[in-house]
Amino acid sequence: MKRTIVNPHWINNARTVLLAEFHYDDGRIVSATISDSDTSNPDLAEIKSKFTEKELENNTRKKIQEVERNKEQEIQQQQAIEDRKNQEELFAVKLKIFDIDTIKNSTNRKLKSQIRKSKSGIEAQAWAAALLLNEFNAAEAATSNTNMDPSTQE
Amino acid sequence: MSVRNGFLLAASMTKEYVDVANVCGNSIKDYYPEAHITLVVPKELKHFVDPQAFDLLIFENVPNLVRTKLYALSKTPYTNLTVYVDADMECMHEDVSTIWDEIEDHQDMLITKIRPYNGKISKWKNGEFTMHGGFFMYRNRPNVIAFMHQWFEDYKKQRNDIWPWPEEEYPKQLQPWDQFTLWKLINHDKLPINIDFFKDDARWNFVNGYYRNETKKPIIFWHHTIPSKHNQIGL
Repeated sequence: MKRTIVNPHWINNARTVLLAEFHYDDGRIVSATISDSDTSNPDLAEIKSKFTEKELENNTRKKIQEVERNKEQEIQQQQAIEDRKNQEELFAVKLKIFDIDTIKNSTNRKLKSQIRKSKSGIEAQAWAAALLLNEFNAAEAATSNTNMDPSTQE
Repeated sequence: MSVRNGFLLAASMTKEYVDVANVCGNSIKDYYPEAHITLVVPKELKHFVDPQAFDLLIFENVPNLVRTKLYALSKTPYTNLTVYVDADMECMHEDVSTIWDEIEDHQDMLITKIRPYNGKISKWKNGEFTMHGGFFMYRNRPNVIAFMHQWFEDYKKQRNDIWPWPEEEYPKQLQPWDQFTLWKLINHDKLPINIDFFKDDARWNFVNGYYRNETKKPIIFWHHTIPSKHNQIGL
């Protein structure tokens, strides 16, 4: 069956092994490796007759670039998944913190801002604890002031 | 007293959307305390609003819809520039205060680009989404306000009427998307509006799932998406 050899390129630094696609007329595409030392292989002879050394080098360079691009994209995808997970977890923690009545109703903008600006769940929780303590102390102080006020005593 | 420039948010349907709007409004004020922020919210959800987060609440006659946002756009209280911000966004950088310098006089609206690798649907036979409807800045000009009004009116029709488009050319999955209404107004109806993209747009609307290399500078707005809530409101 008739077939066309497409994109032959070296797959090792020593330039001794080629990889090429064989596109058959019935639509099949088969990839095959061909050793440069196997001089009896007709595919090698055909590649050598149809492609110059320069073309093989160009194909190899393009392939390396494609592999590097794919690798980079894979890294980007992995990082995006990781970032998304981290951000969503952190955002969920912040929303839960701001659902606590004492925090929700606090007017301490500075500490609330620290919770929002936190870069991790632990940090957000630590600032939340600081705010709760602050509110607790303020409430305690208000109570003791009220108790000391003679006008409120019997 | 009229305010020239400010941020507009909308929260509707459930308490969760008001909660995230509270965080969003406050996060803008954390980095830009002078910012003027308006929340459009249905009256029945008003009691969940954190008054520290907003300078103005619009709640009278506000419909409680999936896209109350679209109702809000033409009701902007700002006389010059409005930045619409999805409620599930979070401000992360002080450069937010420079946003007013981004738009040029001949531009009616600045928006951010969608990234097809991160979207549910981006292309169909006769068109493709290029604009992200979750964050944009627009001018208070008659043609722009008319555009926003039309966006709301046409979206209501799009959601409620029978899908009028041939399905092989315009899949029915487009029906819930207000982005499709936006696409239609610009590309099909050709309403007169000059829309452009933010420079370094990913900084302004860094949507969950974007690759880190979309921007080299610090992110200004992170766009969380709350899909668990989306299911509950029919999106």
